[in-house]
Amino acid sequence: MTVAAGPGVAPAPDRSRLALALLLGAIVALSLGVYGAVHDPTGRSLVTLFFTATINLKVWLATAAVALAVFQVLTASKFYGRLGRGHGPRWLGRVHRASGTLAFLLTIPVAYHCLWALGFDSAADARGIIHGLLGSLFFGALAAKVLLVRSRGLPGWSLPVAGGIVFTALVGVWLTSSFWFFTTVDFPAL
Amino acid sequence: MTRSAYNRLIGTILALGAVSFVLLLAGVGSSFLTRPPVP
Repeated sequence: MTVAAGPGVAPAPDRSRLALALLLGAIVALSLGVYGAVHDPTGRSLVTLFFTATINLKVWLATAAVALAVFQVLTASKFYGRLGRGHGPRWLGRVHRASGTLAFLLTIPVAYHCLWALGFDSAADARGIIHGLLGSLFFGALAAKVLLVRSRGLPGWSLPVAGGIVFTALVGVWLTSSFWFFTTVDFPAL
Repeated sequence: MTRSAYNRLIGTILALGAVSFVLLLAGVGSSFLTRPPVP
């Protein structure tokens, strides 16, 4: 039996939107994983833009995306009241959305090159496998988070958890790629 | 810019990014963005 919320009583959280977001995220993550596994890697380089090599473009764009993700966590912590006093200025939300969008745009050429040129090799070493899984998780969680952020009536914990998963996945992707490259191969200039 | 207009702009950019990503993975425009492997 459903009990209607009375005056002053918060309505029950809408879990259908939460389920829909999780479903969308799972579809995105699985699709990218399947694509990476079945697509024949081209082995071709990406346009380097103003970088001297594709790998330089990848490691630095990924690093910039992680830096923006750290900024995302800090700004979200502020307007959730978890960082210092108050919830920060009103423009913080706009800056948060703009920086998140930029971080997403920066990951596109990196992920495109990973999937298009390299693919997912189940015979790769642990780093490569973890990197591929976390990369798929990142885009799946991001898709779910974008849907959640546009939804109302969700459980209060859903958005911070989704954002936390996106951040954790991206940091994991960065640790298994750029950070690994910086510490074991080279610390390239642009 | 109003809040709703700003949110629409952000949503549009996100959607364009996602669509571009999917199209690139599907091979549309890939020849313009990739170059042969270095021998």
